[in-house]
Amino acid sequence: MELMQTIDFNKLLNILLYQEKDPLLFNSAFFMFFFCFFLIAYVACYRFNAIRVYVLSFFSLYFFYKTCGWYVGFILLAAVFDYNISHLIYKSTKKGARKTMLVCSVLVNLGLLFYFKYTNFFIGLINDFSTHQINYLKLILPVGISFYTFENLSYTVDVYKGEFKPVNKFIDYLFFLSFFPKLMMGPIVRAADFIPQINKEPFVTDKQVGEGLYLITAGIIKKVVISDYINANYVINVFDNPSVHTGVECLFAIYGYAMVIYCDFSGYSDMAIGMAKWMGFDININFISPYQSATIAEFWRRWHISLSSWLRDYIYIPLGGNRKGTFNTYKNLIITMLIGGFWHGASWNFIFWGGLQGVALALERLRNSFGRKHLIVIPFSKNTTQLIATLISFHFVCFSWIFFRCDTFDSSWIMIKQIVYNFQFNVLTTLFNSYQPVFIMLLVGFILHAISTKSENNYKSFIVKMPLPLKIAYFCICIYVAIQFKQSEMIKPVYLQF
Amino acid sequence: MNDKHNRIAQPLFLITFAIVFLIILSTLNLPKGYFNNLNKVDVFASVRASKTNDSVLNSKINPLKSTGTSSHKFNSIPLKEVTLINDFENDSINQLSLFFNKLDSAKYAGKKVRIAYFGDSFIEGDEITDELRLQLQHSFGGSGIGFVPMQSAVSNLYTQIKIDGSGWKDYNFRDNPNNFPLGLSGHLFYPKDDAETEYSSKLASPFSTIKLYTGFNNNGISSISISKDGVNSTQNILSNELINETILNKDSSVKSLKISSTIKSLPFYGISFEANNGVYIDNYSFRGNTGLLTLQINEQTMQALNKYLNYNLIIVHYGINAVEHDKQRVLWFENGMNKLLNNLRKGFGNTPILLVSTSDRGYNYDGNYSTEKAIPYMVNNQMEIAKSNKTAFWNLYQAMGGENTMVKWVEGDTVFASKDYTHVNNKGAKRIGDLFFDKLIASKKYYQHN
Repeated sequence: MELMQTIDFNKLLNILLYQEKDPLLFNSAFFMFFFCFFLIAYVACYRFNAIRVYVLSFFSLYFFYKTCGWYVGFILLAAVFDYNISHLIYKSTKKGARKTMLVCSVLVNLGLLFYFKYTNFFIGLINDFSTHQINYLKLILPVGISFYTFENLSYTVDVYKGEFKPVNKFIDYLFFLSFFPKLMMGPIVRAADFIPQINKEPFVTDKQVGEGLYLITAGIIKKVVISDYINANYVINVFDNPSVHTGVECLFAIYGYAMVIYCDFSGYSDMAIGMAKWMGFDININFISPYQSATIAEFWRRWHISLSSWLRDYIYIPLGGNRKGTFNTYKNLIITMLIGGFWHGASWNFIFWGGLQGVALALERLRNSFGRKHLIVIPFSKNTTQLIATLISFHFVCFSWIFFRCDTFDSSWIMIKQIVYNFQFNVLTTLFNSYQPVFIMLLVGFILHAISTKSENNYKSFIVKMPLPLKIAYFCICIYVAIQFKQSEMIKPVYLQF
Repeated sequence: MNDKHNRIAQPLFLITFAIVFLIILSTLNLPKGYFNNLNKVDVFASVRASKTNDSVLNSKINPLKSTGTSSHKFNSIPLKEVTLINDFENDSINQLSLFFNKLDSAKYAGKKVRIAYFGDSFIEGDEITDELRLQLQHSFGGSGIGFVPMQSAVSNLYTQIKIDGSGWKDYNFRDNPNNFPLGLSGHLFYPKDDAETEYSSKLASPFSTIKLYTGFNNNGISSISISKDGVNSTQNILSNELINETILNKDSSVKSLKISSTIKSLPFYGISFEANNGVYIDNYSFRGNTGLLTLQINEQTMQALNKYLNYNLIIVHYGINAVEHDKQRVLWFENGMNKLLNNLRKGFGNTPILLVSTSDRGYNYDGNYSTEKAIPYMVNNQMEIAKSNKTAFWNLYQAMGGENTMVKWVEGDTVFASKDYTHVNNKGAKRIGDLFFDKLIASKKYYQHN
């Protein structure tokens, strides 16, 4: 066959191995084959409780290996450690011993995370303040470590608090930790939600197939068609060198980035949740049209929900939450969000970004309590107020994205400066004309984002009700469209005249 | 819909059919015509055996192979030195040699050498030219940035000088409805009401000689306000010729200079900061310029400016904006370049011209960046243009590393270029500036010793 002649079998063998610069992304051809092989094995063995979990774990660990090589050892190590220590905590009756073991578990988990993610940040800090310069370490961040560390922590803490009986089998715990759809980019899954599903014989309903299809295709479109396209053709260039772009270009790059990060992250989450549904697992939704939020507090109830609820349950509430007076509430909000910021990455930009969120949440609380006391009358209709509040919140979020996206404070300030002092409204038409497809895509993105939950549910049930052949056709079309966009000719970056 | 059945096999059907669909698309050769605008689907792209000679990149680009029938010794730089500057001048006196001799006269006789560097966004912000200028000034003397306009949106990138201008109407290549005689920078400035520009030195060393270039108005003579380090004065300037030069400062040190004018009829070109000797490079970059915009500068303006600026070398560095994806030839560009070189000859007399090839540029071919296939063709065509116009030629594309250099510069451990795989960052600019200097000096040695 002609096809067979053009295949290079060395390449084929090679591609099965870990490749440093080629993580296994859901939107790759390789992943489709991987997922297909996985489903064959899964369908063959799903009835057999003992084998199923091993098959799932095997594929998950392979997925991890393919993405970050022999670092797969770390997830195994973490699983062994946490599995055993949680049992020891559970069995122990002495309060002191239990506490010591919990602290030990937290230290080991955070220690590993800190070593890989934050060592160079702290070396940089020390270098800034001392004459003795330490060399940076060459570290590669094990994929998903930020996510599974949080899963480990919540698991041990829940066992410690007695809310949860530790799992009996090590393989179950390993599977919970390494389940491949959510391994790389979340959602962060809670043991209490997930582990009870492990030993049930999977039962996939029509609804789950349909909703899975909806989520997977929506995820592909969001990630490849909207996010990657806008990013590669516009956003990346402006953020890379804001000083040579006008304020108006910078502003639209920020709007663009708001769409890019949302579609990238939520698209990936959607795919993960959709795939889990196809296997008969339910994972909670991670994003609910966050830019529709009228307040920052609401934004955080809609954005990366698995993280914000984790932060709430394991940092904010243990700190005292809102139970220790007004001042402490504000303080706790800010600390929680600072930690949340730092979790995103080892740089001051992320900390500052987290701080902005914390301060905004605190200010909102202050405003609410002030508003209740003084009964401020707002001279607009309810809908208008809602719209204005949404726009303000959106712009605040966009403002904070500047710090999230820029590598340094310097470039963040340059971007803000360009918008404030060098806006150049007159290049707007040229900008739109030069990047027409990008702006059309951006508009489509925002329109889709503004769609009500009701219409979204209608569309979802429309897909659920499709007969299988139609579902297959729909799936094929979506993938085909995504491929066309992935390979579409790039828009030549236009440096607009000032 | 029925929730009583376990549909666990359905996802397998879905994914299997999708894969079959893609495999069919990958093996099928769809007839051209209907599907021209659609990209070929190939799920096996990453495991296919690589084809040999499927692109121009594999065929050797060797500009110097075809240097023609010239018997001139300067034309035959050995192949291993393709990254040197190659002179296609056929006359008995090599023009580029004149320039190199001029550099020596700057060093040993305190003479002045001036270079006009025309380009696009690749050289904007005076980053590459700054490095090249500093290196040349270090070796052959001189201090000062040379010519700068009344205001510039990228002046924040300048390392030498801060330019703070306001109140000017900026007529330029893209906005010149009255066909004013634009300067070499592609700009011309008229005061709107109160126009002023403050130039301050970012370096420890202050300004020395400062010259102002203005245009013509009917008054014949005009007076403007200037302020040197906060000391105000009035300066009379002539405006009776197409281009007028006024010396605002000579030999004394000034850290900052402010110029203000309210005369709406008086056009301003810019200011030159220099010393009495040494090498100067005037950066004439204009964003998005394919080179064709430069055709707007008229011959008289060139001649009139050259009367004062006395250029010894004209560098012409375009191409990156004219590259058309996967195209082998861009005729409008070639024609435009021939015309431009002709114009520059008329405008600057016998001043030697050095044509610099386009730099490398990356293109995303199915998810992986590699050199845009049209780039080596563009380089080759530019070399042909240089040859037929008998100018000097520098193959920047080869000199910076040839195929896939841009990819390395963007994706390497040290980042030298922007994510657009086109422009260099300040590290890359310094690298190119140094490279240009090294090759210029190596070429100088080569020509002067042969």
